[in-house]
Amino acid sequence: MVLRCFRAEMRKLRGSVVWLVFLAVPLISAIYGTFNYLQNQDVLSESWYSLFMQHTLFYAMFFFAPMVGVYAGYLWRLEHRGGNWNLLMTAPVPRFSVFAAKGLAALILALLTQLWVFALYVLCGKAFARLPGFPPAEILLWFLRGACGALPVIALQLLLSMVIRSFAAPVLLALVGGVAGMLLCSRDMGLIWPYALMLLGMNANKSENVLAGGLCGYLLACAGFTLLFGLLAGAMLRRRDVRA
Amino acid sequence: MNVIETKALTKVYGGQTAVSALELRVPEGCVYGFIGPNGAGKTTTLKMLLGLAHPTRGSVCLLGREMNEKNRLELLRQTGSLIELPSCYAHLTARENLQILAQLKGVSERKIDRALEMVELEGEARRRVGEFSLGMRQRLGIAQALLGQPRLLILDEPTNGLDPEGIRSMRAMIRALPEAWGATVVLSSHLLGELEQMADHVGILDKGHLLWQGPLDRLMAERGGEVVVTRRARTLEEIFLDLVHEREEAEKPC
Repeated sequence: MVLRCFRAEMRKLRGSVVWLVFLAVPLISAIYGTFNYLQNQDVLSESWYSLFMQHTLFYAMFFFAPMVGVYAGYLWRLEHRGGNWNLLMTAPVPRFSVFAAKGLAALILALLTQLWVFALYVLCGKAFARLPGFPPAEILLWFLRGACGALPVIALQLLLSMVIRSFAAPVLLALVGGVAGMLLCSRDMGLIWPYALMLLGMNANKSENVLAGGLCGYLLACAGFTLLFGLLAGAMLRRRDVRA
Repeated sequence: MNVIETKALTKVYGGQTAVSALELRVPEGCVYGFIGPNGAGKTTTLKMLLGLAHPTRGSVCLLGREMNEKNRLELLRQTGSLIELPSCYAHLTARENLQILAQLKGVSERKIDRALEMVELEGEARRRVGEFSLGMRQRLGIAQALLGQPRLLILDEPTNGLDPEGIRSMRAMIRALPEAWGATVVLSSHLLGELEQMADHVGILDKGHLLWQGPLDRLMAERGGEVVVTRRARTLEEIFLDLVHEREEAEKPC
């Protein structure tokens, strides 16, 4: 059932404006990061690690959560507009499958975003920074960890965009959440805040591994928050009357 | 057999009773017209039938089974509906919209053409729905409801936004559905003349109360012969207004 709903969600994304956001935002972050790196090469001496810090500085701290907010907001906006809630909730599929399918679609978008950011990072490293060889495998792992950290943000943003009919408000909340996450991370309290998990996973703006020895706790926090927001959404879909 | 049966179906919104102890009986294979003025509780009732709104009290039985979490999917599989506005994804074509629904319903995409033909949209299948007029969107909404030939069709104000020619062909199509595949159709409208030409059973609703229900013929026979002065048959509209007036009189304090 979830797969059936997921295919429907992917069909809805055809020709949608969300792909523009997907392409443009990481590009801005890559241009800014590369420019910063090239201007400060005298102090940024750790080759691929230094470029990674510059590339993820804005992407992970300011752009990622609002981008996920845009993905989630767009997926629900399609239903809020045009009275599609009635259609969706009279389809013979479990209510939670609809939420889960939107979660999967947003996850695919988030994973593609991570891949796109990684591709831009390698491309900028080779073409503009002229760095030797390829990025260390550890950095690829950080990207994957960042994708895990995306899960609770996706679940929370989907929940917010499901409840709040405005498109912009949940995106703004994601931006505020991301900034708050950055502050909490600086006080070693990142694990208690869903928006901070992606930052922690990505090792953003750090060249040493901030999760060394703490991966289990990190993964548990990601799973716990995702489950919590998913269950909340399921309960709301079951109990609330549908408002088209 | 009754395709729809409700028992004391009630919906209260913030202290206001929208639907009060409704006992609907919709026989199989009929076109049931649900009549009432704006705000009578028609849409709320239809939403409760489909599980879109939770009853405050009472229960709903569709196709012989209670509408609850356990039976919900099985019942929705056999039901097509258009509630409030026609639903659509404006950036996609009419066909793509129906493909999405076919996927959700688990219906073969080959049935899309038939649904489009029935609402006379086959020539517009590849056009973006964002370019559609209100009437065309309404047709698409009806095509969505017809997709997969459901046993029960619930259509809320199906002729909204249609031009006279569109209304005429929709009327003929709806009237033919019980014979075409044995479907039962429930449609609501505040346009009584419209329903008079489509329905063979009616339920008259006012301020959440069911004032009368049964075969239209019987209603006309029971109430249509009362006016001797005008020496003409009374319309459904006149009968409806009488029933509402009688209820208001009965509710007045002595």
